[in-house]
Amino acid sequence: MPLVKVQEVHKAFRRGSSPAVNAVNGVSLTVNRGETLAVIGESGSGKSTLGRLAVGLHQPDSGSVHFDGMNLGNIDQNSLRQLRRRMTVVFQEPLGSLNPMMTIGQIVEEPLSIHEPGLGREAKRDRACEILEQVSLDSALYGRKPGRLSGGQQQRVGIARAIISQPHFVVLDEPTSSLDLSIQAGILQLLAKLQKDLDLAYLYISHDLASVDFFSDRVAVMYLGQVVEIGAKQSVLDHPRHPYTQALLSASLSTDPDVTQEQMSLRGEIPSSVSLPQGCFFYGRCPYRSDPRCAEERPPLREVAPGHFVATFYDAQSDYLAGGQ
Amino acid sequence: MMGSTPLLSVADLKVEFVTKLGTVKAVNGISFGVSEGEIVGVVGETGCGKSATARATIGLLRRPGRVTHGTIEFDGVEVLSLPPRDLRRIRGSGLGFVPQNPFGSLNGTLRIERQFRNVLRAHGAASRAEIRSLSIKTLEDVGISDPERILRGYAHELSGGMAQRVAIALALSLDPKLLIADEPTTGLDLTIQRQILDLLHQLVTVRGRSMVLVSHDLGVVAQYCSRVLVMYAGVIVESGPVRDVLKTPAHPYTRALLAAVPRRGKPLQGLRGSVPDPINYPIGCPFYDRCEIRADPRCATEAPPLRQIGPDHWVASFYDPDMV
Repeated sequence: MPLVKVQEVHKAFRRGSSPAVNAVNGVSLTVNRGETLAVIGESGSGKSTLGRLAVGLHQPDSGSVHFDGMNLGNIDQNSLRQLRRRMTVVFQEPLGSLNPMMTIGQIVEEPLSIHEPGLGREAKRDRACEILEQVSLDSALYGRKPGRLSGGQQQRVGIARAIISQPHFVVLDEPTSSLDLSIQAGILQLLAKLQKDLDLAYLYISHDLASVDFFSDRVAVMYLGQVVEIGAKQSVLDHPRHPYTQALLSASLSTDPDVTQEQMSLRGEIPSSVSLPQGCFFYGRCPYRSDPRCAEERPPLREVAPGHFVATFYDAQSDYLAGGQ
Repeated sequence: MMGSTPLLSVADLKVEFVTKLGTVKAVNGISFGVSEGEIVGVVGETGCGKSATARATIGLLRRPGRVTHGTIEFDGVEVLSLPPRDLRRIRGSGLGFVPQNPFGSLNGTLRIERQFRNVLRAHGAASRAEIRSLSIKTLEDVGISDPERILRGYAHELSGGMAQRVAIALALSLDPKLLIADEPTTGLDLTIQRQILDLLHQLVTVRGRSMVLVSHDLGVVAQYCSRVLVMYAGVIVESGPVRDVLKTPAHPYTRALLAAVPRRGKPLQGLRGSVPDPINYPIGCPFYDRCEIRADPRCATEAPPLRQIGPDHWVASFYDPDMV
């Protein structure tokens, strides 16, 4: 049984009288124990909203999220609070997600006050210091405020807070996108080590393909609130089948000057999630639209290789074979 | 450092920011040149001085930053000593600037057409019709399919990618000899980043112009630049042809940066410690604290000067990879 099971989830946001923004439009995926599922996609693809749905920080408009067999939409507040201990989030902006008025100790301990209210002050302090060391921070920082820490240290505090309640599932929402490369490396190493030590499952939301390739087991590609391709990392990144995945991968820039990549260019930009296109969401930008169904129907995910699913009527494989002759 | 007379020649440039905590030495004595037709990358991490270098070169340093030392010669003219009027003339037709945040360089209260008019008029374009046709042409050059509509609109109506195209079009409308682009695609999506960089690359090469491309992204440098300056703590620690610097990096910092790029199945290496305090730089090598090698007793006491290790390949380190 997968640890997390997201089924046909939809989520739209309405503000005042403005038209609804359709952030997530029918996503189904699973995350297994101890694995990393990366979610890649560009701004407006709905990947952050999906992350919040997966840990119950947003309620889906329709569809369901199961954690360890329990439907998050069907359990009482008390049980949900119990579950929250086991699924946590590391946010993108370390400083913005840390209360500047609290000490680092208070920030890291906070989940314990909620999930283990019986714990004494000393015990909490010991646990917090232990966790700080686990994320390679000096426990002397316990009494300090987060404002003067470097970006990398702040993110380590965010990670400490996320793991102190001994979760099984952590959503990593672009945890290194505001950090320099040399600092990002340390954070990714730390996350990989914690995953191994604590048997964590990660939903790793990122737009950085190099880190996804380094860090994940499986990859889901999102476009306009839908998963257009999902499968094992080697399968998706080495043999992408969806034209959007192909375009995205071809746009990433190798640090090797001898590797030249032809970019597959797309027309236009990602359409508005206020008025969703009819037919395939990628139709307007797709270089391969040819099937009459492309403009009319939303292509369902179909399995093109073991565990590798793609939502397009276009058959990259046959095209590739034809081109190779 | 250069063979032919460069178009831009920066010598011993120092930029300081006076703050409440002390004087930040953002750029601490750097020299480099840019020749005609060259695309020079400036790469480094937050606070290394790459943006301050770019902005100083075009005379657009943000307060309280100021150039305290050095010379910047562009096309045979010493830029730093120019009166503001002459500097404005050079800026635009000689030197163009593409900022990181296009919305910062576009005026939110003026229609785009008016902004083209202001720029082009300041540089002597005559009639309204002339200005209009030139604006349309430049917008088309940057891949905008409906320039008339864009000209009628305001900056806030544009997506980040479109706004950056408009900012590039504004910079290019005066056909500058040298374009200075300060992280022009940071914050943009991958597919848009690639479009914008391809566009800049094409426009610069087709017109035979030059560009300084500031970036924190080694991939951008590898794919779009001919030469690169690696900056750390306000100085250039390595420079040379992109291929030489990225394939055979000589400075421990350049090596560490490349080792920090995540790759499948390869161990990842972060850097220990952090960048030195730009208010109180240590004596000795600025990279000393984080360096895994520290090959020489002088590392702690002397700042290593740039020395040549290959054709136009320079490194500021006492460490010599060939000796090990």
